[in-house]
Amino acid sequence: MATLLTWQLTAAGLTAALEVPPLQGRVNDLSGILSNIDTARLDQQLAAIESETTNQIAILIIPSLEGNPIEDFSIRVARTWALGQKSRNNGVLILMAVQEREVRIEVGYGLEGALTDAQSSYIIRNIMIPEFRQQQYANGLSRAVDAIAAAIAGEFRPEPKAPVSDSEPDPLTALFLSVLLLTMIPIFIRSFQPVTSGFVGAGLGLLNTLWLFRAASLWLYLLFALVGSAAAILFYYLNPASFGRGLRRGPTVWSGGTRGIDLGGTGGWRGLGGGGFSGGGGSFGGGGASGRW
Amino acid sequence: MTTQVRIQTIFILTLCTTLFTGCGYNTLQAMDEKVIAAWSEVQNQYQRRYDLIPNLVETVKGFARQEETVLREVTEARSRVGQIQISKELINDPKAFAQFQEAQGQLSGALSRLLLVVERYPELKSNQNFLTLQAQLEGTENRIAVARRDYIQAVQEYNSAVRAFPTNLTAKYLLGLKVRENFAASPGVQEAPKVKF
Repeated sequence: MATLLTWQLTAAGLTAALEVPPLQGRVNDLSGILSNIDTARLDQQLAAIESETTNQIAILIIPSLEGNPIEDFSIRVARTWALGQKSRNNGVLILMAVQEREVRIEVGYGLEGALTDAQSSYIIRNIMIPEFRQQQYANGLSRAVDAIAAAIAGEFRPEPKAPVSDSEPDPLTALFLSVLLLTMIPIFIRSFQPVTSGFVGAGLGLLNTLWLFRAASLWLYLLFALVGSAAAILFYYLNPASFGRGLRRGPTVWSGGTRGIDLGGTGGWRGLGGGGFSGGGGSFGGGGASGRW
Repeated sequence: MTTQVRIQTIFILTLCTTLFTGCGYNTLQAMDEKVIAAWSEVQNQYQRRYDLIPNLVETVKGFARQEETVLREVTEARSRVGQIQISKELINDPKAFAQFQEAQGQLSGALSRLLLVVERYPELKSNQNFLTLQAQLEGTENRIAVARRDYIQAVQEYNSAVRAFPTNLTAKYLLGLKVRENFAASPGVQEAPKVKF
């Protein structure tokens, strides 16, 4: 009942819930129970797992839960950090609360089949708790990470070539298309009336969608057609005189327009592995297990 | 460029933006989808719990046969849940929704009583099979809590959009969307068993 009340109050924003700390690295020891060497070693262990299997595991050790249920805090951290690759949801969070002596393994959606609640619970009961009881925190964590890695190793392997999702347009194609549009539109519009240029714009908009989003919905086609025609008419009204003088001013206006389209297509596309450690956008649904040492 | 042309430009620009964002057509659709997705997740997790129970009851029976009352309670509560037709339509029907909630709540209550009784049987508590089932049940209860919370949030967003102006016009006249049922906290009904070991 207490749990239930807490999360209902949390949902209503009435309790001051424990704040999710910023992700600083693979090992986030806010309570200071690990030595620097231990932290570095664990970090290396986790980095090796990620580079080999793309599975993202992170550790968070907090001094106290401050009255929050560990499950409630754990899911918030896991979702905020978004561990795991976006397309695979293959993240795992190990959360330790020192004062409460509680530990939880939070498992991402994509790994729930390989690292079941029962397995997570087994790892906590038989690997972590015995070590933690003897204050062998680094050892317990390291062995638990090994066990987790072994359980999820078979689930995802890096593929020979990173697959390009259908919904994400290839940036090169987009660039090529943009250049094409830049040169074509002013030529067309120059000789046409506003209505005609509207039609041409609509056609180009359709073409753009067809090219950028192969699996687009009817809605998207329509939207782009409308945007295209509106843009063409606008273009006509905004600066009719400049067309005759060449293409110089046209492209500046258009580059703004096409950039907007590109952004819409590639939004959410994020580079990985550059410098510091960050979550890849994986989701969590509450899988995993908790325990007490 | 004359003032007239400028006004025309502004008019077209405004028309474009209002056409695509103001009425909330797409936003409402997306919110509606989100509610449906959140609901199916709630259903999945309840179904998962439902599927776990026979095994759990059997395992407990093996060690604590004398706890007949509690075991029967769980089995009966489970069969009441099984009688409810679970469908997508449930979230559009306040009466069926309340029934669903009540049945699931009773099952939660019966399960927590069962897990309380189990505390008296150390042999059962150290049985590997039981520990596995317990971990699964615990995980499922947590998933239910997460799924319910996600659903509550999705419905909150959806309902405010359906009620607020001007999206309410789109919802009412264009899409026919209505305010949806949300989980309510009625004490004693949704007691989630909390197992610590």
